[in-house]
Amino acid sequence: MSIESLSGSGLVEREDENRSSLLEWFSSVDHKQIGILYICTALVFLLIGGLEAVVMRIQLITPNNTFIGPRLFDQLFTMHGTTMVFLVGMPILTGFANYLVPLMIGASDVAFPRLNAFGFWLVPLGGILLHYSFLTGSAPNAGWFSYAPLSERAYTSLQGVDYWLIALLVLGIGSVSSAINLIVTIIVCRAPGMSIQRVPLFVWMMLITSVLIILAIPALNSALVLLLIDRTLGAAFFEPSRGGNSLLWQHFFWIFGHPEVYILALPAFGMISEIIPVFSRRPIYGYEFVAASTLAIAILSVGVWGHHMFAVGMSPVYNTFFSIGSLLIAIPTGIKVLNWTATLWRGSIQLTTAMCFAIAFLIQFVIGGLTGVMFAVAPIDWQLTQTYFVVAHFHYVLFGGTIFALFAGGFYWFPKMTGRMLDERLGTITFWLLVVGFNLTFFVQHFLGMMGMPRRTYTYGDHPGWHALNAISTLGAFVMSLGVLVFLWNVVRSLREGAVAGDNPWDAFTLEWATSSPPGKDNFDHVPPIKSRRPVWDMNHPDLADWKTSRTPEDRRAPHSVAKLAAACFIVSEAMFFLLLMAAFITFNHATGATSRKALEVGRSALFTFFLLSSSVTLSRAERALRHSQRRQFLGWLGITLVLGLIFLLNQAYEYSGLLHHGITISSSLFGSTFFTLTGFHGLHVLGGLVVLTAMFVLGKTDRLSARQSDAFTAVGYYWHFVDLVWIVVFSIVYLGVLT
Amino acid sequence: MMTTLDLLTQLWNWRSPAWWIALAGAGAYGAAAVRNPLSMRNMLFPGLSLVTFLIAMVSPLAGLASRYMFSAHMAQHLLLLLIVPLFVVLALPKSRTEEPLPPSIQRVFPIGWLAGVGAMWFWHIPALCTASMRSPLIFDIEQASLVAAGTAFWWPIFSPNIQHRLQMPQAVMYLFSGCLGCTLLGIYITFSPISVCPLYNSPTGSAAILHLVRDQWGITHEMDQQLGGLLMWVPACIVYLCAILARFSSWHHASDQGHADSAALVTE
Repeated sequence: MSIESLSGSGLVEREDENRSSLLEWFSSVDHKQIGILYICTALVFLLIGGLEAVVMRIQLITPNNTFIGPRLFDQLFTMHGTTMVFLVGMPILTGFANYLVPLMIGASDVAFPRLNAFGFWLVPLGGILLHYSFLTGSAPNAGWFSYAPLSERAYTSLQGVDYWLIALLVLGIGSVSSAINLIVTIIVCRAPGMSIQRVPLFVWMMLITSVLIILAIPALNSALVLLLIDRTLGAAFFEPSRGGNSLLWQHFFWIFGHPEVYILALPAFGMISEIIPVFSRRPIYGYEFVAASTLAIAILSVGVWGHHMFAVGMSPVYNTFFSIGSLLIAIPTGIKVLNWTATLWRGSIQLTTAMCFAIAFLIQFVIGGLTGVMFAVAPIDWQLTQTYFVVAHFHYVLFGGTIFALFAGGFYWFPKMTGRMLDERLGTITFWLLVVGFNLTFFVQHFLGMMGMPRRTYTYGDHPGWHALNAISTLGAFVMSLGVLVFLWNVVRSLREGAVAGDNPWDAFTLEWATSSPPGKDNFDHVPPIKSRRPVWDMNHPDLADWKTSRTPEDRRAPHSVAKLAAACFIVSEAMFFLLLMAAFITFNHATGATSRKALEVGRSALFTFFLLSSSVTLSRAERALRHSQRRQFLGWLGITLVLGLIFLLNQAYEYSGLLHHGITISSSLFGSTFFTLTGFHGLHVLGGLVVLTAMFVLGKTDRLSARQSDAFTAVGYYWHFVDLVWIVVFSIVYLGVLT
Repeated sequence: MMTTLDLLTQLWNWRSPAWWIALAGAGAYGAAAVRNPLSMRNMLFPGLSLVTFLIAMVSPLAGLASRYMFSAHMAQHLLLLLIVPLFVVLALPKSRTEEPLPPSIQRVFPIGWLAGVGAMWFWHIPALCTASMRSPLIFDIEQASLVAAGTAFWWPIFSPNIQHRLQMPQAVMYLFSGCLGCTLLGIYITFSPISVCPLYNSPTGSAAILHLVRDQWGITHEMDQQLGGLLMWVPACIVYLCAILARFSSWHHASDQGHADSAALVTE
């Protein structure tokens, strides 16, 4: 088939899409449309966040400037950070993953298209909530990590922080749902032949990223709900003046915050691992090493959050171990850089715009990585923390790294998404404007930081050298803004009159290039045979096919139930959430455990614990009855389960009313705060389980639940058993005083 | 006054029955080697298991663990639970059967996990920790149970019969959740103001050694416990991580015919 005829069919589909109504985009459950919605939403927020940065840079152009005041400056850096992390970085990466992962694994859509749409629509909701705060008199102004006690009601009385908390909760729920969706998609929906050892590295890295998301985001969520309870219900988890512990916020936040860095970086690594091989005309060097080092980074990243807290004065023993752990991450990251470089080595390099961005990524990311290694050493951290050196460091990682990788990915996959090429000449201009602008802006900030210029301060004195360096930095910001505008112009122009791309304009290797550009509704007419890691290369160059020279493990996957797998992922994320709530309980009831337990009636709770645990047994009976199509037994056992769960909840309500009667409330003491939070969230989960089980009961009653759907019912069962298991731990800690 | 060098040279326990156990183990392996001649490479893991076992049981580390330092006690436990059994399991001669393990036996694997992670939690309940330091019998039971639990833990991951190992994604989850179990205990011990083994608070024994630990090394009781918790947390997880990477790499290299052979490469 010639290129013309293929691209012709692509154009016809494009026109069909043009004719389709706007409503189709709003109601879409197609992974490609949702992916593009994610990307466009993120671009809007990129402009907002970028504008905020430019305003800050204008303020800092001269010493003692009065362009904006300290209050607005605080709001701007808080909103800039929050926007860039939660409304640009995460959604745009999720967007690319949404678009590309099903195509790369030869699937027709993600595993849960409607959940996918739900996850996306939470992004604009969260974004609007966050920005609505401007109308309440003050946007959040406590920094993107909202350190307590500054973020407590006593010090930040306006509602900005409340909007920040709720917006991040909403966004977090969306991220977890899309992560679960991606995990299940990658594990279950791969085309025949696509063993997990053959997936493109971008897919592999999205799998690891998604696992990190379901582990890390719940930690943030638990911190957010605790702070929200502090601010709205008068508890004092993070308020030292009332017995709380503000360091706990830092621990919780960075348990999320450090993996978050890799959540933003790993997908970018994945894009680079796709782009560098294609434009070096070679397979990636050391696929296994890149894949394994990703796994190592992910596992290490969950255990090293303490390096963000060297300056708070932890014991030297902690500092040493957190230092060692953090330094270890340099090894797998270095392995990746080595592999990318080795792929370039002796490749026939094509310097397309995408490739230029990828190479710039390599250099800039190494600089950001090296300053990262510096920060892993506690004494250097003490010297440089809270200065512009930190700002320079993480912008080299997140802008010089992630955003540059995104531009590379944008130029590389734009033809696939739209059917048209981006203009390479404008692309080159964008590239140089961004490289020059970026390095002007942030490289000099290393020097400013070492000279001691504090970050997050709205102005500075006229110290020697500071003015010139800041002016250079601001100039760089303008150059970068110009680069972004040229890019946007390129997009608008290319959408209308760009060269027609054809299926595979780059002669690339992976499955997304085996279909039309843009792909049709079901992605593939037929998926080419997959015998290696580069199926499209094998298809187009049969004589040089990879599988003839190097073998990769065959696809021998076990059949999976999507419902059970999704439930398992959800349970992992819920377990992390409860783990941190339990940690909060243990922290605050460590010393006073025995006295606070006096308020509780352990014997009665033990009895009702028995009721709840019995409900797990009855539910298993119901599962078995459903599998054997015994409808009456099924409804009977399920009914008993519902009653047992309800009895448990009624007892909890009775217990609560007794405690409230005795003046023990969520705001009266830390015991009250932790007790009501932990058991309350558990109770809410029981209630949620009851609602779903009731729905199952109704479905069963009206004969719409049969043995064929027993997997879905078992998945709900997993959740119910998990909630019971959590109660066993809660009961041991709260009522029996284990660990306190 | 005692120096670190004195401690390292003098605190060996030459009368420990552990020497006899080590000798018996070496003898048994030697007898097996006479029947099936072994290359030098095959001596690596048996040798390592002997050395680490002796470090854990009779070296100055064991001396410090017996009454002076909680962190040494933790290092001893880590060796006995994670390192020695790992080397023992890897030292066993590889065997191959074609049939995969029946599902009934695969269901037993969680017990290995529970044994490995549970042993650490169980022996650090303050009352039991104290009891094991007071009674030699309980101490011996503790050490033996750690090695047994560790063997049960590693078996599904590095079983000598490659067909009988836990399959790949499950193996990662098995190890990662094990790491999480250690991490939780490590975090608890590190940050807890409660003394996990109260006897280390007021150690009895040689004043010279105490002086060395507390004054020359400058390790206070609090630091000692933090160190113990962090040992449990970071190095233990690195062991799990290495195991994950080992299984991962054999999984990636497993091609159609050579599935079992290449999986063996990593561990031989």
